[in-house]
Amino acid sequence: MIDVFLAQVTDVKDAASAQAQTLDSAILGEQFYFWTVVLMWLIHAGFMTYEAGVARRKNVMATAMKNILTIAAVTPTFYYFGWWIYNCNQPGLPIGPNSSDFTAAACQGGIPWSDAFGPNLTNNINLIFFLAFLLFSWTTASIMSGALLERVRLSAYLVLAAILGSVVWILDAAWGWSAGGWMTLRFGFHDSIASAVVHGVSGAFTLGVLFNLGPRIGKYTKEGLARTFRPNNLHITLLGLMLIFTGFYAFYGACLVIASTSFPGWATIYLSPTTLGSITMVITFGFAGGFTGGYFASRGDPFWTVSGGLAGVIGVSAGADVYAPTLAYLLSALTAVCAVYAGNWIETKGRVDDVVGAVGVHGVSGFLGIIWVGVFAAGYPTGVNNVDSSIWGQLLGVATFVPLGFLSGWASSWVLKKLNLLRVPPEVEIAGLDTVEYSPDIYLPEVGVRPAMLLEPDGTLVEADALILEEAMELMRDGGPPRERVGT
Amino acid sequence: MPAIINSAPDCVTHVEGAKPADDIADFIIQANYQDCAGFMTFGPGSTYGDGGAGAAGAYMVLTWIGIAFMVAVFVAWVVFENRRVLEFAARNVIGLSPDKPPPQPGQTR
Repeated sequence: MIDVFLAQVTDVKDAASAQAQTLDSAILGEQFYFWTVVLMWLIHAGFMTYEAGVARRKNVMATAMKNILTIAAVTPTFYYFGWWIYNCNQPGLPIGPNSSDFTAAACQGGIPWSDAFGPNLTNNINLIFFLAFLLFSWTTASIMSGALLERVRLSAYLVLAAILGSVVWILDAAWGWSAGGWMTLRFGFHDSIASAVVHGVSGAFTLGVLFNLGPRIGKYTKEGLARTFRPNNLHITLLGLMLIFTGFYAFYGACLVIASTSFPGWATIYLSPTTLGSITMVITFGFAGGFTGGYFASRGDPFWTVSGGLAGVIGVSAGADVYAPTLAYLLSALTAVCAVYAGNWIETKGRVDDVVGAVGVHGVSGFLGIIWVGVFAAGYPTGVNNVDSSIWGQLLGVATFVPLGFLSGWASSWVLKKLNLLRVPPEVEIAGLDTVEYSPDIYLPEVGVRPAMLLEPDGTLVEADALILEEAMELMRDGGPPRERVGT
Repeated sequence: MPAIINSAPDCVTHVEGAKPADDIADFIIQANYQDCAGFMTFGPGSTYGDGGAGAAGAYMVLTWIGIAFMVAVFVAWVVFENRRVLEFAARNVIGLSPDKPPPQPGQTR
């Protein structure tokens, strides 16, 4: 079945009848994935818009540039080794293209100098399928992006994005989100639209990075209470999320395999049957339930309402191929409530400055998503070995992916921190990344600059810059160079 | 003939005015490509049935050049930004002039 990805013919004449049947199918698949790639760009336009709205004015351009350069960093790394990791590591340990494992055919097409990795008249699928996965990789890296805003170095972020987008997530995808992945073949692990594989792992990786990065200057009072930096443009943030949601439909579609010459024409990444309509129903009810849960859990907060929609969809993605719409509606509402509480807990009790709530929205919801499958959708034969999905298989996923994501994020950011390359100096953070990285004149002077505001824990609204400057100077007076103290 | 580099693999023939090949498989449209399924630049070229058997030689070199460039770009990103932020920090040490606000976007220094 995996040959669907790598349809090959033996010679021109023998190929005639086979190709007559499969050529239409191949071209249909090629076109389908092409359009999902086009529409998934909206996810990245959305991430850029979303994060630029959340950032303070002095960091808007740096935020947008970070999102744009994600594409520059992840694309070549994913091409040169990410696709190889996916295609040649599904049994658990790396295999070669001549291995006896049935995934060897896919491995052959995953090597960057493979003949299937360029213009090839007998293979319509490999490149376009690679591109769909590449867009997943950008998304995975972008999930981390928002959490690190306003103090991470651009270069450090790009290195981390390459590690997350081209190594970590794609390794877990090889294990648990592929036709030959050992977790599915042996344990029935079921995460059809990548709740944990993309979102959960990205959230765990992000949490590991945040532990080393530390909070923004002024985020917490001396007593440890959380302040809230006011977004410079909440409306544009909501627009960004709506763009992400639009792109998510393409993301969902791209997670399916077209097999139009065989019944029912669609399959999950595990080659288990489903339909495009099934998953589209689930994503739509996921948004409905998620918005509802987010609204009530946050008492009508716009940011958390719309983030609740995202959390809701992530929470039902793992079982999107089999869920009844009502189950998706209820589970997504519940997931969104959990994400709101988790996000607030991480910020206020955990004292982790996750600017956009990525750990709660993506990490917590992603792992809840695979647990929900174990609880509410056990007993579905999954993958080519038809092993039933079960709570044990899903918990195996949690036990595998949480450490994989968290430890790799923590370790890679720890190395950058030790090299003093993770975080900008406090002088830069206070001046604003735009001023230093780009130019103080990127905004028209006549537009003027409104002072950034922050909300004290007691609800008082104050001007942020003066307070932050004072706290930074205090940090210096208290001893130790600020570069070492801030962020620890 | 190519002016500078002929990067097409050997399985691509160069017969100007060649008629379309036998179209029995309904997807060979050009005689010059009828023996060549994979024909990317600097690739070895693969005939039907090779099954994407991989490449060697020049394309492998090209791949490694790409990888080297990619690594150099990452190093350049780190070095370039490090230099810039440290220079700024050295020029704007916090505490030397506490009454002077740090420069902001939209304002000249």
